[in-house]
Amino acid sequence: MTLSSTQNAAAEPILRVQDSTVRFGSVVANDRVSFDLKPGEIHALLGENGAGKTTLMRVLAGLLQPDEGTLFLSGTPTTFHSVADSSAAGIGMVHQHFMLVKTMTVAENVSLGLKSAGRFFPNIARVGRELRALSEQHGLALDPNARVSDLSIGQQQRVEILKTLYRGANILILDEPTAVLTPGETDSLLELLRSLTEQGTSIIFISHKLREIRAIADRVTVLRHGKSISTFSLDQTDDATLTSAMIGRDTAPAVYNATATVRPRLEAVPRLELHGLSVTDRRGHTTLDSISFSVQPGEIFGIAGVDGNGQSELADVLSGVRRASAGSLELDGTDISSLGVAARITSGIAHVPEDRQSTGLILDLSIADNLAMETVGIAPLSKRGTLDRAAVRENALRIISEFDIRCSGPDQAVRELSGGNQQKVLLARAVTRSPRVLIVSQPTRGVDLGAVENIHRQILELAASGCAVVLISTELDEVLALASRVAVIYSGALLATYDRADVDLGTIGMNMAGQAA
Amino acid sequence: MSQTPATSSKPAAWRTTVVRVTGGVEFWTIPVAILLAFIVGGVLMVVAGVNPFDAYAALVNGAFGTTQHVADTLIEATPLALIGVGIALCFRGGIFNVGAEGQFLLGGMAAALVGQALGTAPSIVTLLGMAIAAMIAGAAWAGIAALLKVYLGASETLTTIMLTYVATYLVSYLLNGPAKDPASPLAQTAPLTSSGLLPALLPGTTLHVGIILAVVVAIAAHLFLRRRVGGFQLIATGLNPVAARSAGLPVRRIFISVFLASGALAGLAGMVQVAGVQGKMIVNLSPGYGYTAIVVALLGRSSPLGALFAALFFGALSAGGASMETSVGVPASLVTIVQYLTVLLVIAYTAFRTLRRPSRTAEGEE
Amino acid sequence: MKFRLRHALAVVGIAAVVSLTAACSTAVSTDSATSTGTATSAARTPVKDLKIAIVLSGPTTDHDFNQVGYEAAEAAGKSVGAKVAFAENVSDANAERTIRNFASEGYQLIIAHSFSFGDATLKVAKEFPDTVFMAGTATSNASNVGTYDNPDYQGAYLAGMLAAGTSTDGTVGWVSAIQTPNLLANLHAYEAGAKDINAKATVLHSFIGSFYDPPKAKEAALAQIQKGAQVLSAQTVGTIDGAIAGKAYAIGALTDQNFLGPQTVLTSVTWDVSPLFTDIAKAVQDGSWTNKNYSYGIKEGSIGLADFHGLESKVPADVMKTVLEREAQIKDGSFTVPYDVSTVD
Repeated sequence: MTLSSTQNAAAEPILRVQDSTVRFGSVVANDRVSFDLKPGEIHALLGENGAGKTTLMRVLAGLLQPDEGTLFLSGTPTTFHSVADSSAAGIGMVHQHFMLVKTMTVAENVSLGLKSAGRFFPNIARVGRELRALSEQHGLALDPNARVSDLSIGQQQRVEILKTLYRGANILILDEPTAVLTPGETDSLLELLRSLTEQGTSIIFISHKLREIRAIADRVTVLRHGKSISTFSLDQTDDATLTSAMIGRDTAPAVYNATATVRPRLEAVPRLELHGLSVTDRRGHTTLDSISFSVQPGEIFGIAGVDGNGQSELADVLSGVRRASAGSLELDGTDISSLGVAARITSGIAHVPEDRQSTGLILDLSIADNLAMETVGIAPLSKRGTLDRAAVRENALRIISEFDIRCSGPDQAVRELSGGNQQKVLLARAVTRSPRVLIVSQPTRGVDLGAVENIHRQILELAASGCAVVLISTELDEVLALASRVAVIYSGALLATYDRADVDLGTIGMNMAGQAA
Repeated sequence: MSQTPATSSKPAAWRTTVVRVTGGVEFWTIPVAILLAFIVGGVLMVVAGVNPFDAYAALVNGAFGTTQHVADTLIEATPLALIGVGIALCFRGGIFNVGAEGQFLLGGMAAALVGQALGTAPSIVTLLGMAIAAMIAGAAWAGIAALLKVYLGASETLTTIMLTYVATYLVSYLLNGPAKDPASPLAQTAPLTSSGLLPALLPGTTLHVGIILAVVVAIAAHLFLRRRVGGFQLIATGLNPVAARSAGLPVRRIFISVFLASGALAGLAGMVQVAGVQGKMIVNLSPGYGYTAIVVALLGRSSPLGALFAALFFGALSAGGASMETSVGVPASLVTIVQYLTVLLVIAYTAFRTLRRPSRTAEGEE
Repeated sequence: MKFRLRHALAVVGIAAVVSLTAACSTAVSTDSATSTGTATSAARTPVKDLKIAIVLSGPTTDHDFNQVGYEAAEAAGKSVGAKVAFAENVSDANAERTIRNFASEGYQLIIAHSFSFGDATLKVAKEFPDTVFMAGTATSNASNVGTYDNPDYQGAYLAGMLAAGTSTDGTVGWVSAIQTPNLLANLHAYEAGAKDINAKATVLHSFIGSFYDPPKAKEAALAQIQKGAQVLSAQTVGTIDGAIAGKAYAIGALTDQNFLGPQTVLTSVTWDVSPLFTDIAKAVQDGSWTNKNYSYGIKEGSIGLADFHGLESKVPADVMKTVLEREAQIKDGSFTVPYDVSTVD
């Protein structure tokens, strides 16, 4: 066989997947998926959660063997039995969750498990020197002796990229690489990827964000329900075509792209008012720093920001799970700072936690039981402490049809539902109580587009009915689509608050990266 | 996509296994595990040069062969069931109370002391006083561990074990000192008067009414879990305390309450042994009931009725095992091997299933 | 939303009340059924095909009390042609059931070989008036319950003499289990023996509070050695380990325990209960058995000193001579070892 020139992009693909099928029992995760990667190309994989992107990626990384189908490496049929095989073939993975030991240095992390560094006593110094050279060559600006825990998230991601390059990867697979980054960090990542391709690296870029894909990729393959729908050249395709390929129908732009928000009715006393709420953790760190804002009935107050800047603490303090170390909280002018979770629920505060699987739902219980969780102690679900099973079931049946929860029935365990339907259960539980205040965190994280639409509509309708909503989300698009006012949280403090109409994307991006306007 | 939120804590692997054992095991696995354990036990007997069929025949005879043997089985099952139901409730709430042994001993001690003080009162008064005192003593001892867990975050596994040591030595001190029967050289209280003894259930045997108590308690606990709001909240808390708390459930109160309930039941079991079997408090009141009951609760899949049946099974093995030793010469410890092997097999199967569980949610949550 | 577990507690409580109340209505009749057994000692019917059972609180291989009992029962069975069964490691909580098991299986002679089995034996004996029970306890009053004891206090006197004579300053130790009359007699005799050879002898004693707790016994032994004891009487398992660790001498008990510490165990006060068990088995066979206390001491050949295994040299010759003279005097009845069971601190 002849070696194909890397310069000739039209010729032989460096990597090709032909009709790959992966089954987990009766579930078909990949159904005759095909796609190809040309040398020096950035090829995006676009699809909703559960569309099969992760499975395809695991096949390429050697973590899974397809039940059917063939993998071609520069035209040669190949089988990866393990990660070592795919790594030897020049494929490097950058996972969404970094595989780094935080207490070790960059060079030590790269040396981990690397035979060429020396099996028992790795030559860290040599690895460090080589890393420095490689880092300069690609403009990564990483110090090999820096401790990983001292690096920012963006820099840690670069360590992961450097690690794969050091191991000789010429095909990089990045799984949702921008999910954890600020807008500024995202830009520099995209720049880095572009420069890598100029030096001959080919990249598979997994994302569900159209804007990024458009900004960087040459081609995009859309996956839906485990099938590869089609591959498009980006310069010949418009957004509407891509979105409808991804979700299988035309989007309803009115919701997802809505900038029209419900106008707050002005009341003398706001529904919810925070006065200098602060939280100090056990080690004495201030995790929430004197937060003050107020929300009117019918208003959606959005809190934007990069993950880990105090959002969890804010939601916990509002819901009563955590006590504030200073400040006060008023509901309709009444101080509720000293109330516990149950009392706040009774007084009309609803909370949809950010992590539906570990803090929101009880996965091993049924849909009906989860829906009953907050109100099980009162009629009609129980009388004098005795459960009314029929009422619990009735309640669930009503909510399931009202909120379009896709399930086999009220007795199905929540664990078995898709992420979107789990989220619907959680939101429905809050909404059906007709709360006066809704605190909702990351309502659409890991949720497919169809469910996103449904969830956004629920939040808008609830606000229209007069509920004050505090929406905490790391998805800036989501906050901008729903909120009438937007605040940016950074390092536990609110950096700035804007009326939706005055929002400037550049400024807000700077705020999210910690720079005041 | 996110850092783990500070408020969520993943339950330890063993906790997950315990919770899974509660509901995740198909019922058929238990008879299969029992059968396998008996086969292994039989192989051990062959190695030891004993005919396993003779030995198992003696075992069955010792457990059910005569009315007295049935009585022995029920008598052995009673404390295991009472304690086991309490531990099963704890497991359901995600609490690993392994200190029932100490709670049991203190219950027995308190019952004996009250029984002596009320020795001349009518039987109903004496017995009620003994039962209440025993339940308070057991609950108080468990309550220490509960408060340490809820307010200081101390692991109940450690504290309950440590408290059992303290209880054992406390009882030993009392029985060698202030509470000792001056007429006896042994570390025991003076015998209870007849008003402090549990009445017989079956004339001609030693069976006392304790077994009725155990059955009533198991059914009450079963109905509590199934029908009561408290039971619903207990189960939810056990499966995910973080989510339960965020849904407004009084997680601390639930932890403390279930701890107290299981301590009270262990204490009550101590009273039943004192008033129903020994007729006095003795320093060796427990041949390890508090520990065996943990295994009973596990084998009963942490359901109260399951624990009751597991206790009957263990009671039969224990009564039959003693008879196997006396008539065939097989060491009774072999029966202990069969008991624990059964539970080990059930747990191993559960762990195996947990590992093999298709990670569907992982797929949906990229 | 109030949590309802205290309601559950109430349910449990009520359940307890209900079942107790229900049960108490039947209490009166059953109580009288199991009340008293009368203490008569009429002649018994002879027994053919004698089956003997012995119930042990520890393992048959403890080189101590339980092994002595087990081997004696086997010896007795062999000499009278009876089948012998045993149950080992029986806890106090299970003693009654085990004894009842043997009785209901037709064993005509049941030996409850632990001082803590006395009450259980009496209870079962009431239900099986035709069965003979032997209890190692002194509080028997039933017609079919006899008692036996271990008058090893007689040997303890000799051990006390040996110990105090071997110790350079007369300080010796004594480690045991629980203050039972038997062990108190042993201690007092040991002290008397020590004073016999050295009027200024000091005897340290420890009761560890349990019949079987070797680590605790070892600890107690080491504590006594630290206080100056040079020879220890090992009345419970673990003492000899302590003597080895503390580099002191020990005198074993019940069996020849030299193998536990060949350079440490001077000798042992041995107890051979097989003559006693054999005589009892014969008496049960021919119907002559009565419910008295059986006590076989130095005179009957049940108590004696074991071989010194070459450690005679550690005992001053004059001491050895005095000890052997005293033993002869006990045998011929010219000297009686004082018997004192008063409690000590």
